[in-house]
Amino acid sequence: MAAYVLRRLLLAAPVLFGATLIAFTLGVVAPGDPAAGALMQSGFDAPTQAEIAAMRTELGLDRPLPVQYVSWLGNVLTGDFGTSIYTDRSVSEEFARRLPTTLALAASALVLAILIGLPSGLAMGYWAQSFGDRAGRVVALALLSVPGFWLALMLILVFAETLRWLPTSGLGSWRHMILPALVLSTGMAALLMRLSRAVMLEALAGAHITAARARGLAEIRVVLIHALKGAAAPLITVIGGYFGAILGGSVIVEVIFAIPGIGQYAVEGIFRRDYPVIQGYVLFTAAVYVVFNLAADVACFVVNPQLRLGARVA
Amino acid sequence: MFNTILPHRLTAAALAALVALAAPIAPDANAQTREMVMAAPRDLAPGAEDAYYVSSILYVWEPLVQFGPDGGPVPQLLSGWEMSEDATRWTFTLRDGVTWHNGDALTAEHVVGTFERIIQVSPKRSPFYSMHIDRAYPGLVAIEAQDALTFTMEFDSPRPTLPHQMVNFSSAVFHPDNFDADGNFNDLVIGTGPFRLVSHTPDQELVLERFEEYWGTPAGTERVVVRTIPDADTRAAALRAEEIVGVMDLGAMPPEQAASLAEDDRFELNAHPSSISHFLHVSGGDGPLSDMRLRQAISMAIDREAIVQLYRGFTTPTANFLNVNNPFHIDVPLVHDPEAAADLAAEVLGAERMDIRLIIPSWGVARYPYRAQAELIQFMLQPIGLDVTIQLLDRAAFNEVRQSGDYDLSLSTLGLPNADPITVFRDYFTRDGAMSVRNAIGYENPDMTALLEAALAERDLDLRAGIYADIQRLAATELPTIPLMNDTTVIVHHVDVVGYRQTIYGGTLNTAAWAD
Amino acid sequence: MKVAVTVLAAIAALCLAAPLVAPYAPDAIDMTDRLSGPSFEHWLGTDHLGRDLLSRLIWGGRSTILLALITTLATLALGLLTGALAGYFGGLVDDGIEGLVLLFQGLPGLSFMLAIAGTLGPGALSIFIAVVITSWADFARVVRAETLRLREAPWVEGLRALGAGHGRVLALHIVPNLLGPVLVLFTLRLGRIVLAIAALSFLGLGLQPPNAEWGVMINDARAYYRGAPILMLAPGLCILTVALCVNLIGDGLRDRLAEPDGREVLP
Repeated sequence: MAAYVLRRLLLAAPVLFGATLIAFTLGVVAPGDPAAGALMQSGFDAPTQAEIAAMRTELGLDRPLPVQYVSWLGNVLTGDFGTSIYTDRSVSEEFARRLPTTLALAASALVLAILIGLPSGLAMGYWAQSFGDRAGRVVALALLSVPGFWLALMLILVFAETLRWLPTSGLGSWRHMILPALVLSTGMAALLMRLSRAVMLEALAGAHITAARARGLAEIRVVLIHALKGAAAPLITVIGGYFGAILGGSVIVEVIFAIPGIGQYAVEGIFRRDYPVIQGYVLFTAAVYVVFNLAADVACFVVNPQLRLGARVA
Repeated sequence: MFNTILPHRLTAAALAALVALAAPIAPDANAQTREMVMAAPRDLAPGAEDAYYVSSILYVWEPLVQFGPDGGPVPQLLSGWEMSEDATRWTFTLRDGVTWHNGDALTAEHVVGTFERIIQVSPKRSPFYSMHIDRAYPGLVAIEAQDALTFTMEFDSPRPTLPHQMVNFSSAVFHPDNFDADGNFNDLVIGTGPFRLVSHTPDQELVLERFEEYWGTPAGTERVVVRTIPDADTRAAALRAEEIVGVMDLGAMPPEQAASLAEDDRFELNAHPSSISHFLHVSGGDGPLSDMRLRQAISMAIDREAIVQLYRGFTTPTANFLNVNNPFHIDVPLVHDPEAAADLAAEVLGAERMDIRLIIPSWGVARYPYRAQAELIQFMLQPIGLDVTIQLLDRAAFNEVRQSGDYDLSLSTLGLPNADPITVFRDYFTRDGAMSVRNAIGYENPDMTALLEAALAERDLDLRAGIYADIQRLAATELPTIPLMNDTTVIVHHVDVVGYRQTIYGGTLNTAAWAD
Repeated sequence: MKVAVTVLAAIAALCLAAPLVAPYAPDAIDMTDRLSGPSFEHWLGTDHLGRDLLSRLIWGGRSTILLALITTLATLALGLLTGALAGYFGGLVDDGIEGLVLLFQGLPGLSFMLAIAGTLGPGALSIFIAVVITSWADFARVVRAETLRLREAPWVEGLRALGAGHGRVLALHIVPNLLGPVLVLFTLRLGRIVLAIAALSFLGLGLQPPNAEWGVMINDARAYYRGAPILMLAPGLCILTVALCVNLIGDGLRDRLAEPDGREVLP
């Protein structure tokens, strides 16, 4: 067990190292001078060349690139992602402050996705090829095909503005989370529907079921228990990978629903050309993704120890 | 100066009564405090590392000098000022009886402390206006407290327009105990304004409470919450859902959404010209548009009234470089004549057509209908032989491209940092002026240079105003940059709120009150 | 699936033939006829600059579909090349490519796509680069696994023994055999890329004006859709329809062909 976790950790390290290279490269290839940008944030100011040069020195941008990378990497390893060019505040603190919000959103989306996807998928599998099953499969595909932002706007229009059942935006009670989580959960819900349908089909074909049927036991219960057991490992894997990926998907949701999470911060950083923020975002989401994948793999290993390293990578 | 209030007040008042009866969140008679929830597109309290902690539009701190109704300077924390004969020494008297939020009385020492901090931290970044002593107070030699309520400022050369330069952010006054050794705020901001900042959750919301010992007219409401909602459409939705009762800040409500909200009887719309002007900046130098006739042709070919339609009438067309809100603004004639424009352009181009590159900044797209505006200009310049390619650039790329001069036209705005236009004149109309460099405008003309020098040397305000007028007329002919419109800030509020109007910068949050 | 193919083919044909079928030019501005509802002249009405909505939908579909197709094809090409090389040659080539694949698969694609597109600035090229960089690894992995399997096949060894060169074996024998699984992957990915382009457009990182593109049209419509809902509904439904058809086809293909790898169907 410990050996397995260790080997998985060793696999994760180069990925994170690669992420730092990509993050740093992004800051380098991007057009525009961050020093000038920092001095012109209101859009009404006109700094002189001397002021810009001084700011370049202050930000350490006048050093050779490898030097900048090494010093930046050193800081990153100690958890210091630098300070925002615009607010002068620590980027890591800002991410740490905002991460719980985004994770709460992602967790709500996950719960919704499971509530929607699992039962409907199992039902679709049980009554495979019925009308409901066919309809459900199209619905799942539709959920995968709807543009998230478009859905968000429509949901706000209907449920917040017109019916006033739920708040339009912001944080506060659990009610604030419903609409954004719903939008965020569509892809995951569709995925779970398909997954649990497949698991149910497999369970129905299994030998236990045939035996149970032969003995006339309460069929649904047996099938359900068996299906859920079989579903555990793939479910954990999918959820682990998706929890990390959902951080990327949360960007649009956070912008539309005025949720001050890391996605909103990233978009602000991108439009202000705030390099430490963009780099921090890239690294941070990479780290979260890796950690959740790792956790999922370990959980899978616990559920199903026969899995060997290499059966699933990354 | 126009000031639109839509829809009609009478219907609004009648409806206010109706809405109060019908609305599910109608005030509870027994509630001790009814929070007034507003929303802004950005966090108006950037916090301790910011030059000002909060925006001026929250009425937490006050400046020494504020915008008057005509855009000129009026004393805010001052009771008066006096200029020496040679205009190098100014004596200011503070208003008596001003109390800080922490209970202290405002003294001249505090003001000196504030200025010392400005000097210490310059240049200090801020999303509002950056703080820079050399820009706001060039040539300042000394600032000294004379007695409890009097202080003097001394300059190395005449400063007849000093109060104009001190308006709003330039003369923000903070309690000196409010700063740490680096000049950052050490706690929630302490000001003298009608509202106290009581709490602040970054990027989410801030809470203001009425400051009961305020020296002037007390705030109209006890408690205000300002939520940050970056997306304009979500702000509009929150208004319709009555989660918020008003919006504030630049770009509070884009014109189209505002107009659509105004069709709903629950909302009132209020617009006021801001100090921002819209331009079509021109890359001069040795570019194709260095020929004045082409710039004039472009100006005449553009139907500004059509662009104003995109702003739902909330801007005013102009041919003057200087914003209409500036006290030195004069009217200059505006010509829209596509045929004359085509003839003039033909003089330069002959039968040829010319490729023109129009760049627009992506940050402007969130606040203004820039995309549509660019598409419209592209359409309007086609008949005079100019084939426009539009390029939407993010802020950094936009700044880089326009400084390099690798463009022909750009959509730009300019806000006036203070009421004395000499700074922006020099920034734009001299070859090495800051904005001229930043935009690669490259305009220079001996007549203009002479006028600028004469203005600087003139100590008499009226005579200086005359020179400023000549500068505006010359700029309108030569078009170093092509003025398009004077901007207007539009706010929308629920009819339950009264006394909330837009001003040149920010709204009258201090007088906003429940209609009851 | 037949329905999906028919609908998609119809939409694609209509859009690709935009210059022939669109009733108006997509950038023909008429400020005197803004935001007008459906009429005989303008079947779906006009937008905020008085441009014909139907024409812009058709031209916009052309941009959206072409951009998505080109981007996905480039992703596919890169994945095919790297994957086949890695799988066929093994050894150092494989280790190097596999390392890169592991790296890019270990990173959250959407976040990176946004960061890359945002850093490069708005425009078709940025979208192209951002999508290709964040998507190729999935293709490479599937192709590599398949190639490895094929390489071991006795007939490939036979070919080699007969003196066929590496390039010849790869191009004429391995790659054609990869087409089935790759086609499935391509189709499913195309649906995701259509959505990704729309999302980037929505965030203001879309095509340059005055080009029509469905995501950009939705973004433009945000200020006007309460008065003119069709401005937002029409391009939204177009995106939904195209993505749904593509996904239905991909699903159908996967059911018919061998299942390549369960993980690849993740959205």
